[in-house]
Amino acid sequence: MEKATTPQALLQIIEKHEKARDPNAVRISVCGGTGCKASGAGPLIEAFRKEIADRKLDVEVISTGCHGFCERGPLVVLHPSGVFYQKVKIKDIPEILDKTLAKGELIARLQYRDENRTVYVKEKEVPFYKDQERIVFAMNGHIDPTRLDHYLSMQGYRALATVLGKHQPGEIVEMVIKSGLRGRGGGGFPTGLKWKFTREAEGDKKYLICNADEGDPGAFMDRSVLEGNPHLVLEGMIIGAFAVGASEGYVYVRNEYPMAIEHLQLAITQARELGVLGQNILGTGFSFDVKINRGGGAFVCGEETALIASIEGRRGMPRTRPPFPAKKGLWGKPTDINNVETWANVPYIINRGVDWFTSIGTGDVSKSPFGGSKGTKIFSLVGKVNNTGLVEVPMGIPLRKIVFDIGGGIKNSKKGRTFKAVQTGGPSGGCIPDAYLDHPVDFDELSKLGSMMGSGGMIVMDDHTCMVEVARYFVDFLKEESCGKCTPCREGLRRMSEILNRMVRGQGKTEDLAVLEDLGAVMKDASLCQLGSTAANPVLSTLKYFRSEYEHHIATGLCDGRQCIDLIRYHITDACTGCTICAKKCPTQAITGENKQLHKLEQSKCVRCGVCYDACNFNAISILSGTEIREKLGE
Amino acid sequence: MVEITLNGKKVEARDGETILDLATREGIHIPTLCHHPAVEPTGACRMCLVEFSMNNGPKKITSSCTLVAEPGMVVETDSERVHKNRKSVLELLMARVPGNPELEKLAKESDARLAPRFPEMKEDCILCGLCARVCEEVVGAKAIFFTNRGTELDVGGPFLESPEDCIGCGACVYVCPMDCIKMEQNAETRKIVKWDRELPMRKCEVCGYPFMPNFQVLRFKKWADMPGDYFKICADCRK
Amino acid sequence: MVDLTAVDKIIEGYHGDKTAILAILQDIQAVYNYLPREAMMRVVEKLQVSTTQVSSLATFFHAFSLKPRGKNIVTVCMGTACHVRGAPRVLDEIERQMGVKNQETTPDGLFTVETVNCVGACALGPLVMVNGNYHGNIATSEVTEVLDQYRKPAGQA
Ligand SMILES: Cc1cc2nc3c(=O)[nH]c(=O)nc-3n(C[C@H](O)[C@H](O)[C@H](O)COP(=O)(O)O)c2cc1C
Ligand code: SF4
Ligand code: SF4
Ligand code: SF4
Ligand code: SF4
Ligand code: FES
Ligand code: FES
Ligand code: FES
Repeated sequence: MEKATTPQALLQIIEKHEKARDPNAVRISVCGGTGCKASGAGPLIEAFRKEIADRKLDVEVISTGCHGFCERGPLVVLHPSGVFYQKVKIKDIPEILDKTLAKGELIARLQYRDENRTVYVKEKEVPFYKDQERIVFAMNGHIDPTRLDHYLSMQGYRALATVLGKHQPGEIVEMVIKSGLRGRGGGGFPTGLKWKFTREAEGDKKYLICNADEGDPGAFMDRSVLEGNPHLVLEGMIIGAFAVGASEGYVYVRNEYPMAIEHLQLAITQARELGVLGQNILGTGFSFDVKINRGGGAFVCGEETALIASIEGRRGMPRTRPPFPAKKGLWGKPTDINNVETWANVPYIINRGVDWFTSIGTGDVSKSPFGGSKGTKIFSLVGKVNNTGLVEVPMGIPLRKIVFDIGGGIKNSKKGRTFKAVQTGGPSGGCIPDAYLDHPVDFDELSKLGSMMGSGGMIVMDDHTCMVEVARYFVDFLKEESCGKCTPCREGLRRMSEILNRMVRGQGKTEDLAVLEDLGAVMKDASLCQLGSTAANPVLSTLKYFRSEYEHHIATGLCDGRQCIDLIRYHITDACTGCTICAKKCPTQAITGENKQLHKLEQSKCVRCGVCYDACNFNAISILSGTEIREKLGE
Repeated sequence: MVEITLNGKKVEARDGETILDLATREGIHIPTLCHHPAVEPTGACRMCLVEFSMNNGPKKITSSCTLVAEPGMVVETDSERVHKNRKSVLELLMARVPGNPELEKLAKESDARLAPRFPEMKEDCILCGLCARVCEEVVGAKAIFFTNRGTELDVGGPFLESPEDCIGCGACVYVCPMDCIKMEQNAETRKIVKWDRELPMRKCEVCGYPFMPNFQVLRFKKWADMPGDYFKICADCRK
Repeated sequence: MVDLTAVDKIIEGYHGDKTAILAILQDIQAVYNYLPREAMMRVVEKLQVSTTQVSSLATFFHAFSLKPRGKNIVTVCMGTACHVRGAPRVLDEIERQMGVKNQETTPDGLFTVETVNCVGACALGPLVMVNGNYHGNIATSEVTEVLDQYRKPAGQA
C-alpha cells in the first residue's frame, strides 16, 4: 500500500479504490466471522477458493465479517444477484457454482425459510434483515476485514481525510455534540461532551481508549464490529484523538476474542503503512498511535476506572468518580474512553453529516445532546426467539418489532410457548413484560421501565422461564464478577444470592421480599461504582413486574416457569402413545415401558434434565409444580 | 478556596479538600471505617456516605472521604437518605463481623439494627484495605494485599500465605478499625498473628532488649542504604 | 522443576515493562497452560514488582489458573444466551460424564472442565469449547459424541 502524505493524497488513493470496485463484479461472500467459523466456514472458504481456481473462474471469494445471523451459518451471499444461502456445506459448492452462479437457478434447500415455510431469495428480503437499518454494520458482509483496499473502496478513511484536510479539532467536537451521539457502551453519555471535557482538561499528554471488553455475557456486537471492520473503529479513534488532542490510544479487548485481536493488529499495521496512524499523520504534524491490551476475564474491567487500572497493570478495582477519566484517567492524565460501537459511528457522522444522523432516532438534540437518542443501536437478540443474532435498528423502534418481526416471534409457539419478558441491558439490566412491548427502545425510555440500554443485550424469555431463577442467575453472575471492594455491592450481592438460592429451592420466606428491596435500595444508592449500583436491577425489575412468581415460590412452591429443579416433577400423562422415544433418550433410565404402552417415570431416578419433555412428540409429558405435585403424585 | 453549601450553610473548603476533612473542620461528625489520614482514601467501606448535588443537578449519595469539594456543590451529611444508607451498610458489616465493639458502637450512635437480618458470618475483617494501604504507602513493604475478588475477596499475604516481605512493623495492627490484626511478642520472636508471620528479634547489644525483628533491620538497611552497624543497639541506648 | 526459559523470553519480549504485567502473565499461561508458582516468582524477580501485585492479579482475573490443567480443556459457556438455552444442563451432563466438577481435572489428566461467561458466539448457544474449538448448539444428548473426539489418543483416528 502506498503511503499518503497529505489529506489530498489520501483522498486520491480512496477514489482510486472506489473506482476500482465494480459493483457488478461476480463475487461470492462467505461469512468468516467467529460464529460461522464455529459452524465450519473456515474450510468452506478454502474449498470455494480451490474449486474456483480449479475451474479457472473469474470470481472473487471474499471472507467477510459477521452478518449477524450466525445461527444460520455458514452464510454465503452471491453478488451481484444478492442470492442468500445459509448452512452451506463443502459438498454444496459444486452445485452452487453449476446451478446458481452459472445459470441463476436457486437451490431450495440452502435458502432461508421462516416458520411458515415462506422462502426468501435475497439477504435483505429476509425478515431478520428487512427492518434493520445497517450503518455500523453496513460494510460487514461486503468486505474482507483483513483487506485495507476493501475498506478504502467503500469510502474508508474518507472521513479522516476530510477532518484533517478541512477542520479544526473544536469543530469536530461541536459536530459530534450536535449529532447527539451517545455512548453505546452502557451509560449513554453524550460522546461529544465527553470529548469536550477531555479536550478542555489540562494535561501535557492525553490518552484515548476504545473499550472492547464486552463483558455482557450474551452480547457480541463489539466483537463482530472489530472482527468484521477493524479499520472503521480505528478511523473513529484517530478522528477522536485529533478532536481531543490525544497522542496515544489503547484498545482493551477481551482475551476470549482472538480473531478480533488478530484483525485489529493487522489493521493497525496497515493503517501505519497508509500513513493514517503513527507519527505526523498525513503530513499534518498530528501524531497518534494505538496499542492493544488484552483483558483477563473480568466483567468489572469494562467499567472505565477498572479498565484503566487494568491497563496500568493493577487489579481491576474501580475508584470513585469524580474525578472522571476525562480529567484524570490513565496514568492520571486526561483520558477519553468510548465503546467500540461509539467509535464506529464517528466516520459516518463526518461523511454523511449531522443532519443525516439526527434524522434517525428519537427526541430533539438541537439544544442538548441529552434531548434524545440518535442513530442506530446494535442489539444482540438471543433467547427464545426464532431468529437470533445481531440486529442493528434505528433508535426508537418498538420492542415488539424487534422481537416479533426481526426476531420472528417466540420459538416453539406452535407448541404453546408464549412471550413472557425481554431482558435488556446485560446482567444489570431489567426484565420488561409484554405490557410495554410497544414502548420505543432508546436510552431514556428503557431507563424509565427500570431497565437500561446497557451494551445492547436483549434476551427474550418465554413462559417456560422462571423470573426468580433469572434474577438468581444474574445475581450469582454479578456476585462473582463484583470486584468486592465496597460493602453494599459485595455484601449486598452475597445476601441477595443467599436469599434467591433459597427461594428457588422452595425455602423462601415472606419477609424475604422486603429484605430484597432494602438491599436493592442500599446497593443502588451507596455502591462505589455502577456495577454495584445497577446490580439490583434484575431483582427489582422482576419484583416489580413479576412479583406473583416470587410469592408463588414462597407460598406453595409453585414455579410458574417450571424451571426450578427442586420445585418441579416430570410426569407422563395419559396422552402417552408408548412410542418409547423418551425412555431411549433419558440419560438415567428413569423411564420404563413397553412399546405402545403407557410409560412410567421413576421419580427417584429422574434428574430433571428435561430431555424427555423435549423429545416427546405427543405432549404427553407434563411438568408439575406447587400443589399439583401432591395432587398428582401424592408426594 | 472553594465555596460550597454544607448542611444548608455556605462554607469555604481548601483547594483539593475532601468533604470529610471539611466537615470535620466544621465540627460535623461523619462516621468512618476505612479512612486514615496517613493514606489515600479509597471509599471502600461506605460508612462516610453523604448526599450531594452539583449545580442543582440530581442528588447522589457518595463517600465523603473521596469527594473533593468543587464550586457549586451542595452537601448534606445528615439527611434521612444518608442515615438510611449508613444503617444498611452497618447491618451488612455486622452480619459479616458479628459482635465487633467498633461496629456496635457505630450502630448505637446511629440507631441502626443491632441484630442483622442475615445469617452471621464468622469473619473478623471488613476488607476495608487500610492494612494493605498502610503497608504499601507508609511502610513501603507491600507485604499484604487483596486476593480473589467479589464475595471471595480476602486480604493477606500473597496467595493468602505468610507474607515474606512483612517486616513485622505493626503498622497494620495499629490502623485496623476492627482491631483484628494481633501482634504477639516475646524475647525471641514477634508474630503478626493474622498474617501468620513470625520473625526472630534482634537484641540490643547494650541493654539486651529485643527491639526490632532481624528481617526489619535487613530491609531498612536495604531501603535506606544504612551503615552495617547502625542497628546494633536500640534507639534508647543510642541516645 | 519448571523450565523457566519460556518465561524469560516472554519478559524480554516486553522489554521488562512493568505495566505489561497482565500481558506477560497471559502469555505465560498460554505456554504452560496455567501459572506455575515458579514462573510467577520469576516475574516478581525480573520485573522488580511485589509478590502481592502478582498474586493479586493472578487471583483477580478468572482466566488465570493456578493449578495445572488437563491435556484437553473443556470450556462450557455459561453466558446469558447459553444459559437460557440450557447451558446448566450441558454442564451437569459433562460433569456427570467426567466425574469431576467445574474447575477440576480428571484423575487421568486428560480433561479439565471450566466455565466461561460468553465467548461471543452467542447465537450458537449452548456452546462448548474444547481446546479452543467451538461446538455450538450442543444438546445434552450430544455431549458424549463431542467428548469422544478428544478421548481418542492422538494418531488413532
Ligand atoms: C460493570 C460495568 C461494566 C461495563 N462494561 C462495559 C463494556 O464491556 N464495554 C463498554 O464499552 N462499556 C462498559 N461499561 C461502561 C464503561 O464504564 C464506559 O462508560 C464506556 O466504555 C464509555 O463508552 P461510551 O460512552 O462510548 O459508551 C461498563 C460499565 C460498568 C459499570
Ligand atoms: S460497586 Fe461492586 S464492583 Fe463497584 S467498586 Fe463496589 S464492590 Fe467493586
Ligand atoms: S427429565 Fe431427564 S432424567 Fe427425568 S425422566 Fe426425563 S429424561 Fe429422564
Ligand atoms: S506488620 Fe507487616 S504487613 Fe503489617 S504493615 Fe508492617 S510490614 Fe506490612
Ligand atoms: S484486617 Fe483490618 S485493616 Fe485490614 S482489611 Fe481487614 S478490617 Fe481492614
Ligand atoms: S459469524 Fe457469520 S453471521 Fe455472524
Ligand atoms: S471512610 Fe469513606 S468509604 Fe470508608
Ligand atoms: S453467551 Fe455463550 S457464547 Fe455468548
